[in-house]
Amino acid sequence: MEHKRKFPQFCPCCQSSLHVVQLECKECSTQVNGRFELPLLAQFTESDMSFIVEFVKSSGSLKDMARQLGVSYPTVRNMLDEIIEKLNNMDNDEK
Amino acid sequence: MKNNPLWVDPFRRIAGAQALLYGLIGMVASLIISLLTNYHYHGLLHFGSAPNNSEWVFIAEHLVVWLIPATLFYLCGLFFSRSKIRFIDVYGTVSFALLPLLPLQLISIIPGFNDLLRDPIGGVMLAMFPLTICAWMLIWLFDSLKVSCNLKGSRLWMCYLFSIYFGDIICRIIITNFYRL
Repeated sequence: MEHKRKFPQFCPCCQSSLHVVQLECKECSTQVNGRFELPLLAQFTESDMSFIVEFVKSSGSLKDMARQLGVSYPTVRNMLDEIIEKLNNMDNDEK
Repeated sequence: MKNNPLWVDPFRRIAGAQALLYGLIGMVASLIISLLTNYHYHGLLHFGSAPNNSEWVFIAEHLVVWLIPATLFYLCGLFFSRSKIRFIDVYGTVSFALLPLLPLQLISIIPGFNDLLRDPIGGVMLAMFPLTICAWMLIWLFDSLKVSCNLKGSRLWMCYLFSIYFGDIICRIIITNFYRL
């Protein structure tokens, strides 16, 4: 049975962010080499990603999300604000 | 997300109108017990008997002890939080955070409570109870500020200590003036 491996976001040695250097076609095994930055959403942690997915699924309604997750409205709003802060930091790092 | 137990971090689950409703029910219960036992709030962290036992004084004390810290929290949130804070979350969670004071009043209606206070061992044990209850209330007030205003780190601690310290002083000044009326 093949294990689903967790996508690595940070270097296991120095904890710096990683970038992609090789891609391979699933069909013909053609390999592309280069230095590619990770897409923005791939830079989030798994829990942040699942929050973003739930947020989109609930059409951006924090009240609906709070009900689904069984937490209070300000807790959900604080989680969203943390993600917004991370996004702003990523933007600043790119600049 | 780190999940603390609900008795430490209730506002992860309860906030807004729901917290306000529970808080107001607790406040009405507390008011009834106060009227029966002449148990007064002298400030946010001070309790006991008082020279004016008019009904309006009890009502005013309860409102002051709720509204003053809630207003200070709200102002801190407006000035120091990067989130869009909601009025109902701040006032609702603060009203809920005062619920631990209810058992403090309940023990004073236990028959033989005053006799137990005079007993050396019983007196010490009873003195520990209000301290524990106050610590619990202060933990909930901290959680209220943290969740409803989304404050963290040094900003959270500074706003909290400022609101509790000056909240208690303001409450005491206002309530002391009620006794003179």
